[in-house]
Amino acid sequence: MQRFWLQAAIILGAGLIVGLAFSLASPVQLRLGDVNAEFRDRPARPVQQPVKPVEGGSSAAPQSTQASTPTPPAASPASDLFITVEAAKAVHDGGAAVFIDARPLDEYLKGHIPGAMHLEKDALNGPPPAKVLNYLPGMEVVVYCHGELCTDSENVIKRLAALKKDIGPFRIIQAGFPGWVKAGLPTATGPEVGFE
Amino acid sequence: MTGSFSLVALLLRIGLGGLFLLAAFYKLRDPMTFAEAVMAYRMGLPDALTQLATYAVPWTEVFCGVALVLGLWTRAAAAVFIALIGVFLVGIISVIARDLNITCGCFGKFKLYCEGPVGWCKVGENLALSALAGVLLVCGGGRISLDSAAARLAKKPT
Repeated sequence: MQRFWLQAAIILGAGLIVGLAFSLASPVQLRLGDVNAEFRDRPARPVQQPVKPVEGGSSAAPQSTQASTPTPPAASPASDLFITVEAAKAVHDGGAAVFIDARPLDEYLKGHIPGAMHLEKDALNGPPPAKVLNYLPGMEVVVYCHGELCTDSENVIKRLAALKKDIGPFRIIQAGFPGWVKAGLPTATGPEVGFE
Repeated sequence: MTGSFSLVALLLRIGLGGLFLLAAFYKLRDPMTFAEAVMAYRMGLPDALTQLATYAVPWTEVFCGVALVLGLWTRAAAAVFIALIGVFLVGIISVIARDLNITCGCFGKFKLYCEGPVGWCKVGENLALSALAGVLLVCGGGRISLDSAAARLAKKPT
């Protein structure tokens, strides 16, 4: 019996020791606060201006040309990472941010915030898609998924920040797409437009 | 120990050990995704512990899986298997109790039986795996195993 416990302890101990060595050697990125704080004190600068989405359903995407006038600094404390639907609507109306839908594609096709880019976290596990590099650097990014119980928005942001492509600041719509719909705000359907 | 049981034990060992090795492969191939899966359970773990779990869980699965497949220290490996499944069960039941809508993060995109968010199906799946490992815990790895070979060597008169 003593040998049984010793063997079990060796298996568990080996897993723990090797696991500890790996976790020290290659830590994974866990915190979101640091990600947003990184952009907190960024000075105002020219950014790409998205076209204001058309009310009532059709999609609109950011233009790829540089705007001549700088937008106000979108920097804010890390605690502003999560925003309400109302705040998201104001940002949407301002037209200076890219909205990202982090939900599965089939749900995006059925309905999304007008002008939103579809981007799941798995698309960022390897080299980023061209649309990420073409449309997101220098932009404020608002991400949403299923709401408060969904972590995909956070996971997309962590991966975008890890690219070090000057993307941000980041926002997450706390109530997600369900909250947007519940507030009676406009939605669009079908594939994304303008992020070729 | 009959020959037919030895064959069953071999299949069980390869099945359960292989399953753990597959799970470990997916977790170690993309540790970020597994770390996110751990955090999605919202167990209030400090970051250091989440970091450790991200690697310690799959590496324990590796050692446990290899031991099961080889039939080395089979009973102990089966006990570790059941213990790990027990930890997963605690997490799964707490997720159900808190009505969280998350996916398991167990095998990456590969699904064993249950699909969709974590739910009672996953509890049943884990209990079934524990029951199968329980057979190895009680009866050992059978004749076609390193344990058996070592025992035969030890009994051989010099």
